[in-house]
Amino acid sequence: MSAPGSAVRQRGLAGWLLQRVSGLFLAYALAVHLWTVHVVNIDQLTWQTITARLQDGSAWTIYYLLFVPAVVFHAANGLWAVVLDYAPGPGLRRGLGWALWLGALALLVYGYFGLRPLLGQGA
Amino acid sequence: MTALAAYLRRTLLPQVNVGNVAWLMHRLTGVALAVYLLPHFLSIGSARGGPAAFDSELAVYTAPVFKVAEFLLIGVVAFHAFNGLRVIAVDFFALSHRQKLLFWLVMAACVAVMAAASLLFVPRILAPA
Repeated sequence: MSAPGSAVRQRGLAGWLLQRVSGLFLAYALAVHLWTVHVVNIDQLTWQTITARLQDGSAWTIYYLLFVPAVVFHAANGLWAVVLDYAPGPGLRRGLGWALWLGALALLVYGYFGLRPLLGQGA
Repeated sequence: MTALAAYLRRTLLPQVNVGNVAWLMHRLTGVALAVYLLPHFLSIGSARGGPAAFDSELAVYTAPVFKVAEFLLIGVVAFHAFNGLRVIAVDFFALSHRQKLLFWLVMAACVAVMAAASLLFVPRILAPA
């Protein structure tokens, strides 16, 4: 395993630290997600059960507004670390960086608008 | 060994030891999960088409082949999550001298999760509703 120092030098302290912070949150959020989908709602993954849960007045909206950005960021930042490991030249690095982070932004926006109807906020 | 195989060996698994195997498994599961996000977001996005479109999309995934895939996905998530906690523990609590023990704890936790998940998934794979 590479020392944290090398990863910090390569992609900056913020990228290294945010990967750990988002990862810690995702370990919790994915446990909730998988438990809810595969145990609580087992065999009843339908519009009715999902909208009833998401609109039950508890913190599900807050949960998803944290979960979706965290998972998109963690995935993009992780893929960016893979790119940097292969030490691309400056042009390729810039191109891949733009493609990756613009793609992540598009996925985040798409995810938000995909969730809105389930949260009862209109299509 | 061909040049490609040598390159992959050098960049992915230069030496077979616990630390390298853990790193490679973390990377492969991470890339797989990042790729999985796309179809997952697209199917949830069918909610924009209303209840009927959403339910017919989700009904696709009740097929046994997707139950098998979901079962394996839980293993992939479990490994990436538990090993991610191992990386955080090693980074923040100076536990690199315990990284091998921590890896085997990660694997034990994964086996426990998969054993529990198999109780839910195996009957549904063998006798779909």
